[in-house]
Amino acid sequence: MLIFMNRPNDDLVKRIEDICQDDLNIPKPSLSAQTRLAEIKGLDSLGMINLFMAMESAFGVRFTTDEMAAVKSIGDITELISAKSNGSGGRQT
Amino acid sequence: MKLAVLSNINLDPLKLQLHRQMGAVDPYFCAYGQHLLELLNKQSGLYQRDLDAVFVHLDAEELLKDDFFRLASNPGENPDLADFLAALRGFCEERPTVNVIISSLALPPFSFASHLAGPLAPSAIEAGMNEMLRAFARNVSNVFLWDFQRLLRLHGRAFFYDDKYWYLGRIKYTQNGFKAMAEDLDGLLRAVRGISRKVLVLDLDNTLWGGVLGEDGPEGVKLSEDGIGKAYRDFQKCVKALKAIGVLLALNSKNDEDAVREFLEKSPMMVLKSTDFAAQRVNWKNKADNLREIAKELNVGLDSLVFVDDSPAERALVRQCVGEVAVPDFPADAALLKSWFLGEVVYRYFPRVKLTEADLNKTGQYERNQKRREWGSRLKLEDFIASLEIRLVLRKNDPQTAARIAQLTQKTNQFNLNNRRCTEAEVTHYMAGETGAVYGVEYEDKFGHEGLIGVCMVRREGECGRIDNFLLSCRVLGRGVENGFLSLVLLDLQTAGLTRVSAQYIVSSKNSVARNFYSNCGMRALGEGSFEMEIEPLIQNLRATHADIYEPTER
Repeated sequence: MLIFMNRPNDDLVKRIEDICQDDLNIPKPSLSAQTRLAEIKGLDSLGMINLFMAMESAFGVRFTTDEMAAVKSIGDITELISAKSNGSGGRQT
Repeated sequence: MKLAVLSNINLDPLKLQLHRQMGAVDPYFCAYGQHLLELLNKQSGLYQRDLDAVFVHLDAEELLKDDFFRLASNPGENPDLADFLAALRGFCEERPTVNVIISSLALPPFSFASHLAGPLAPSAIEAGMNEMLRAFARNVSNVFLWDFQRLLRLHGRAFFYDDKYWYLGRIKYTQNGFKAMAEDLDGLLRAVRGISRKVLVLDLDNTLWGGVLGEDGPEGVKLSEDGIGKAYRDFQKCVKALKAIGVLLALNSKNDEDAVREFLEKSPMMVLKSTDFAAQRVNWKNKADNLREIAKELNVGLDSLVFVDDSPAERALVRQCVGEVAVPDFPADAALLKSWFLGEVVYRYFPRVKLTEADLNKTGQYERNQKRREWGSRLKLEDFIASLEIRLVLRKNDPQTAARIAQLTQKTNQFNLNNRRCTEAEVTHYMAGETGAVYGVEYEDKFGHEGLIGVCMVRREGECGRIDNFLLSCRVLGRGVENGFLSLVLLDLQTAGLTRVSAQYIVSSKNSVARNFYSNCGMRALGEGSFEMEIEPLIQNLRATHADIYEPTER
């Protein structure tokens, strides 16, 4: 039951993995909601900016600087995206 | 493609987008803040590399620095830009085979100067800096200007900019912005290297006109100066314009060849004529085979062809059988034809940075521009009108014109003396009546055919013809066409034995332009907007006012 409830955010984690691999050249990132951004190998400060830019483009949302500063883990990101896109998570271009 | 990118802002995310757009490209990005030093220091990474092209993208706001927050004292000459261009000139001279692309400069839409006009206005400062770039590009042969502002106009500033990345990482644009930049830059770089398709191959039905010629007939297809038919005509004008800069045109259509030839020759609404097409395959054969033949006939590779067809099935067939041919998608709505063609087809497949003599000589464009300048310098209206070589053709009681005449009575508001709106049935009824006559007039000048643009309906009352309806499309106003048209009608009435005419001007909220028409012609005012005159002196009056420039031709 819990697994099913978690599903939407699991999808988001998967898509963030894709973004890390495709947009940021981070090979095979194995992410979960608990992964802390500081632990992700190859993600420097410019990479963080690129990650947020790619997510804004992929999910059709915009983050504020405060929101970005508060993000510590992948789970923080998925919560933020869910809240902003009303859980739809649709790709907008 | 060996590329370097030079900027006064952080363009790092462009790296990924260029890679996606152009494939195997690993551009060298100058470090942030080093753009001037890279040019001045011959030991720099820029000088060390073997390069095909350098992309120079300066941010205008950064260039102004704190001048952005005060009124620049000498907006025409930004000293930092002048220094940078001097350094860039040194590089261009040192590396004459490297193509240097420089973006035009764009200031933000907001400034503390708000609505300030004059030379200190932000827009004037921006224009001044861009003029420096243009002068630079004119004087250094391996420099090409890239119109960055065009991209901003296309996508809008909100799409392109995100202020927060500026403060977080000296980045100004969104990922979408970088993607748009990479796409456009790719097109420009291909144009610089002369990589462009050569031939535009076109389908006919529902592509160059609306409808199907074989089913709807020449009168039934949508191709006109009004309604959605104008979208097709505008599309044809775009295609013709592309031909004028050296693109070859060809036809590939499933159609009856004779019917098409006749339509191309005779339809006044066709902008493209048979002679515009360097190769024609109008037959019932497979379109992929036709494309192979066209390439062979024009002695170009299949990868030089772009095929435009409204039918998804034909497009799929061509993509499958002759993959080298570029087959862009076709817009679902004819109203989008022009913007689709210019935005999607021209920029992607036929990009140009410089026009060659050969491109232009194909069309005699120089000659035409010369003529246009001559006309522009003429002072006298009469001379200008005479130079247009206007030809009017009168159509009397022609059932084929009834639909268009009804449409004109319903749509014309300005030069409309009677404001009498008619349905097609009413027009037909009037035509068939014993005492009535419906005249339409077609207009043509040296620039082309405008089709039927005027209506006059006359009812016979003894020896007097009463003008029930007189109107002219505003497209041709101001050229004396109204006088010419009226005199053609009068000549016909005279032939029919009439000696007098009467007419009325009925005021509406929009037809003041026509208020003095009858009195200017010399008709006697009877009060309350009624006029009357004998035909013979009226014709003489009209002759004296422009009407003499027309050769009456009856069809």
